[in-house]
Order: sequence, then C-alpha cells, then structure tokens
Amino acid sequence: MQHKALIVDDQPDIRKLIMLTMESEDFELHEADNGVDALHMARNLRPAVMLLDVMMPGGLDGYQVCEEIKLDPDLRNTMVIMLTARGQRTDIERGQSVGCDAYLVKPFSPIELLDTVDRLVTR
Amino acid sequence: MWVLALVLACVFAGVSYQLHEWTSNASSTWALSFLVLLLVLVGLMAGLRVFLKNALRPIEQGIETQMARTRAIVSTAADAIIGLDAQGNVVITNPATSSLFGVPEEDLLGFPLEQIVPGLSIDFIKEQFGTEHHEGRLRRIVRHDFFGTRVDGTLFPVELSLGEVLEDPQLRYAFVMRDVTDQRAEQETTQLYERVLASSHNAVFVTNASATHNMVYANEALIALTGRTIYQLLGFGLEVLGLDASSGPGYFELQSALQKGQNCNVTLNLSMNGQAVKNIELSLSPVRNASGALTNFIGIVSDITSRVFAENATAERTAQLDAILGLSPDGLVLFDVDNRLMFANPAFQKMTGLKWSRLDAPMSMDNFDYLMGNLCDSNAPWAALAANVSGVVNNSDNSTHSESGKFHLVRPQPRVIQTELRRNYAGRGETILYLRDVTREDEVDRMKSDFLASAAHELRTPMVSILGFSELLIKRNYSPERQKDMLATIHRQSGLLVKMINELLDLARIESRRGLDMNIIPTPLADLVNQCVKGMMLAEGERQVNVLRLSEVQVLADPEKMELALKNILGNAFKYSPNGGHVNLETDLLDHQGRRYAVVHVQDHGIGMTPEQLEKAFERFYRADTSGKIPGTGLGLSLVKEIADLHQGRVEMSSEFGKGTRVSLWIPLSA
Repeated sequence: MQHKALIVDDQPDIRKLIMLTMESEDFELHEADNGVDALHMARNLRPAVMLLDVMMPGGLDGYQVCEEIKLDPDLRNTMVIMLTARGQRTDIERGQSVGCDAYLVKPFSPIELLDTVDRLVTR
Repeated sequence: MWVLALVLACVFAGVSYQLHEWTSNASSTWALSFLVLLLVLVGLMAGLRVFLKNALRPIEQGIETQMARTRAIVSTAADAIIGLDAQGNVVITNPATSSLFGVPEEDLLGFPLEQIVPGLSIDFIKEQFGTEHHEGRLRRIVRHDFFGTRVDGTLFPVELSLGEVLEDPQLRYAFVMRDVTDQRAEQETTQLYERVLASSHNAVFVTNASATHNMVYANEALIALTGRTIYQLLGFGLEVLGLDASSGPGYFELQSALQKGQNCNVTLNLSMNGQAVKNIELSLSPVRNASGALTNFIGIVSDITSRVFAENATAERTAQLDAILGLSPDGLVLFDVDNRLMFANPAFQKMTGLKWSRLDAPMSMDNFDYLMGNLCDSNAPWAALAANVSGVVNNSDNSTHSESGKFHLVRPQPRVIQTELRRNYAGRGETILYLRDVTREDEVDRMKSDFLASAAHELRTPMVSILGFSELLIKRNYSPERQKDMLATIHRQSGLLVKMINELLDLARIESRRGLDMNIIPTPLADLVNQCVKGMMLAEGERQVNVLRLSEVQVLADPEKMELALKNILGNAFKYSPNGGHVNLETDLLDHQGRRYAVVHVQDHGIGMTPEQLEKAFERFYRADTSGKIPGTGLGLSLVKEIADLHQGRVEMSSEFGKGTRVSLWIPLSA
C-alpha cells in the first residue's frame, strides 16, 4: 500500500534530499515550502506522514502547523516528524507539547529518517 | 607730805607761841596747844576725807562703768574668752566658752585648760612664750593648729589667740578661742575647687573689671593651650591669647560682649606663634557683685581642633559620597532600621520617575513596594522588599545579607532592572537597595542566544544537504546524472557553509585582535573595488555591480580587510534586494573635520529598513529581517563598522523601507 507523505521545508535542497531518500514504491511524495500551504495540502491529502521543518518564514512555523494538524479530527492518523536545526531540550519539549510523533535534529542521517518514517507508518 | 608736815609744824609752833603768850603755865600751854593741834588735825582729816571721797566718786564710777562694759563685751563675745592663772587653771571664763565647749562655768573654773583644749598644757603655754620677757604688759600669739573638744568627744578646729599677762597676780594667761569649723570647711571647699580648676582639661581664665580686662587667674590648661608662662598671662588682656580680628567673626562678638558685660559663646581660630592653628570654643560669663557692677569675666576655652577637623573630614566625605551617589548611574535606596525610606539617589529617581526629597516625611517600605509594584510588568513583577527583609532579619550568621532579583519596569520606560538588597547588620541595621539597569546587557544576552540559535540554524542547514546527499551516495546506487546532480548540491552547499564560517571567523578575529595586525598601506581605490567585485563571484547572467563612478585615488587601507568590508556591503545590497533592482556603486571625495576621504556609496533598491531598524543595524547579531527568508548572522554590518573604525574612517547608512538602502564607506585618503 502506498502511503501519502508530505514534505515541508523552505529550503529546496533539503526537500530534494528528503524526496530522494523516501523515493520508493511505498510512498506517494508531496511537498510544500511554507506552513500555510502545508496545512492546506494536508487537509486535502490526509497524508500518513508529514515531515515538518520547524523554522519556516512566513505565517506559520512548524510548531503551529503541527498543533493544527493534531487538533484536526480528520488528520488524527497523520504522523508528524519534526525537523529542526535546534536541538535544545526546550525545543524538543515544545515539539512534544504540540503533539509531534518524532523529532529529528539537522543534519540528520537520511537512513535514520527513513527508519523513523517506516516505524511510524507501520504502527 | 613734807609740805604738810612743815605746815603743821609751823601751825603747832605758832599756836604754841600764842598759847604761851596767853597762859603762863608751860605744861598747860603744851597740852592746850597739843589739843588745838589735834583738833586741827581731825578737822583736816575730816575735811580731806570728804574731799577725797568727792574726788574719788567719779573715778569709782568710771571704773564701775569700765568694768560693766568689759563684762558686757566679754559676756556677749561669740568667741571663748578664758583667763588662766600661773598654774594653767581657768580663773575667768565667759558664756561663749560654755556654749562652745558645751561645759558649764562651774565645771571650767579651777580646772586646767587642757581639759577642753587637748595639748594646751601649762608647760606648752610656757614654752610658747619662752623665758624672755618683753617690754610692755601683754604678749600675743596666734595659733591655728589646735582642736577643741566638745562634751561628746568630737574635736573641732579652733583659732587660738594666747596672751601673757605680766603684772596681774591672779591672771597670768589670757585666751581667745574661735570655732573655725565653718572657715576650715570653706577653705577645704575652696581648695577643692582650685584643684578642680587646675586639673581641668578646659582652659579657664578670670579677668578683672578694668577696661583692658586683664587676666587675674589662669589655670594649667590655659598655660598649656597658649604655650605661655603664667607670668606672660597674668596682668595682660585677652590679646596675649593670640586673639585678634584674624581669629574669625567670633572675635567681634567677643569684643562686644566684653564691652557690654554680656555672655558669649564663640568659636575662634587661635594662632600662637610657632604653633599650628587651633580651633577653640570660648565661653565668656560676666560676674557681678551685689550691687550689679561688673567685677570679673570668667572665660572657659576648649580646644575643638580635633572636633572641627573631624567635622570637616565628615563634611568632605559626605560631599564626596553625595557626588558619587549623584553621579552613579545605578540607583541606590536606603531604608533605616525601621524600614522607612531615608534616601534615594538621582539615578533611582530618573529610573523610576519617583521623586524623592529630603524634606518629605519618611515613606514606609510597604508604600515603597506598592509604588514599585505599579511600575512593573506582570511578567517579571516587583518582589516586595518587606517580605525579603523580614526573612533576612532571622539570619544572624552574617553581618550583611544580600538578596538579588530581577524585574521589568514598564513605566516610565521599559527597562530590565537587576536589584540587590542588603541588610547592614554591622552598621545600624539599615537596608540598602541597589538597582542596576541591565536592559542593555539583557538585550545583548538575548541577542547572543538568538544569534547562537540563528548561527546554529544557519550552519546546520548546508550540512543537511552535505551529510544527507553524501550518505545517500554511499548507501545507494544512483545513475551518473543523478550522482552528478547530488554532488553539485553538496559542492554548492559546502561553498555556502565555508562563506558562513569565514564570516564568523573574520568577525571573531577582528574582535579579538582589535587592529593589532592591521596592515594599512596606500592602496589604489580602484584596485580595492575591482578585487572586491571579482571576489563576489557573481555568475554571468546574474545581476552585476553597477560601477557608476570610480575615483582614481589612493587610500590608506589594509587591502584584505577593506575588501572584506566592501564585499559585505555589496553582499547585503544583493541579499536584501531579492526582487531585483540595480546595485549601484559610486565613489566621492569629501572632507570631514580637516581630513580628506574617499567615500564609496553602494545603493540597492531592495526591501530597505524602517528608522527603528536602521538605528540598530550596526548592532552585533542584529537582524532587521527576522522572516528567516534571507540568510545571515547579523554580524556583517558590525564587521564592516569594526573595519571602518580601525581605518579611522566610518560607515553610514540611510534607508527607506520598501525602497532600498544606501551604505557609505569613508576611507581616509593617502596624502
């Protein structure tokens, strides 16, 4: 079964990296470069997993998007993995407080990312 | 006598002859003449007796009167009057003797004087007068060293006048005794006072009532104070003390008091030749007699030099502290031991807008807490001092106890204030509140941690691609085209990372070296600009730097660093105009404060800055654009400023939000 995945990051190279990493028959990949679009697409696609960058310019940052996702009953089944360059305890705690399912600190290992996705999606 | 006998003989002879004539009988003549003679004699005797009696009466009366007078005086005398016989026993006494010694007359008469005046034996008395006898009837000696005995055995001092009577068979010695108990006591009291005056630390003098107010008494302390001898003081006026118009305004007050016979209390400067100037306090009191006339002045002089010195030192210290407290940019508030506000320095008043005046009634700490609470933000509210202080009181181990805190002022301006509260047990238990405006440091700290977060993010972002793509290349197989694409990304991101790292290192190096390794040489401006533009590696097809005017001059610059500064400025121009627009560069030659400069202007037509952003633009770590869209560390402009300063030049910026920014770099011209 193919799972829908939504990749959200303002940096094109990073999006490219993640797309390349997850490229396989298991996933249908989508991308967004800002929080507002991400939310919009998430509601349409109802993806199984979202890879969400924390620091994004524009209206919504990663935490806010995650919060919205988790509060939406339709998106209850969407797994959210947060990606950030900030690895301080306060950031991780904040991520947990908005209900993210996993937290990866940049720079991350792509293989590790894949493992995390697989783990969450097959749950 | 003989005359009388001769007269009688003649009368007898005459009568006998006459009788002889009248009678013939010889024997009857003799008998008759004898009888006549006898009759005459009797007559004469009687007559003489009457005459004498009459003559003696006034003399008798006179003697009687004398005796009565003497008796009266002796009886009335307050002093004991005693007469002794040759054996030393009392033969005469008076009422005063009885009352003085408490012994009745009958117990005195016939008894030796020694009984009531021990030591006054007849031998002693004889010894007093010696064996030689003076001409005249009476000799007198006065002694002050005897004691009389009262009936109850108490001794009392007497003044003794002894007299020796030489021609009286009954009365040999006469004594007059006076009870001098009171006088003795007075004497002792006077001696005591004299000793007090002599040993007093205060200098005392007494003047007479003459116009020159000469001194008649001066105690040891005055002698010591003035350095004069007693002979140089007594008989002289107050000028000998070294007092004149230069002693101070008190001198005139003193003169006035002397003239008017009034009290005065003045401080004066005493300068005795050779000695250091002393500050003295002089108290003058007039003394008047019973009829109100001025008889003396009493002067008491205290040396207050050390007191004046201490007062001056204290005043000086107070002035110093006032100046320090007045200048201090930090707030200081003092509460007394009862937690009432005693003092608030100008910095505190400025910080809080709360006015305090020494004339105000002391404010309680609770009131103070209330006022401060009103000024604060609920995010970091005012911690009530009263609670802190009461807790502190229980701490008996330290002589002082400190508590720190931080609060946010909202009024009159937003400020972050750090406080420290200290209770001064070693002093009088005052509480001192110290307030320090740490808004700046707080902001810098915040900016630093923002920077660190930002720097972390910036540095890590390229690493994602580098690490990620390289890992994929290792772990998986990709087509050569794909591989090349991935490697290109790795390369590109590496370049970005290098740029970022360099920027950080440049700033750090310039910061720490502070211009020690500056290599300022005359450099052609054109070379600088061209090198810089080349170094930016702007690809063909991308926007280029529009060089409008380039002066052919030489500037005094360290080429490497100046290039860095220019690169930064140009880099910003491109970075902050993401929607395009020309990036123009032109140079000018301008004078400023007597020096000539080449000014490089770089103009972009990008996002620009608001006035508030412009104001902070050169601050370290400051980023006007916090959207995160444009990468940067916030260090670029501070680097440029640092470099400009080290060149004795400067950098200026003007900007219009939404329109663009213009940066001008002033570089000193080479001579």
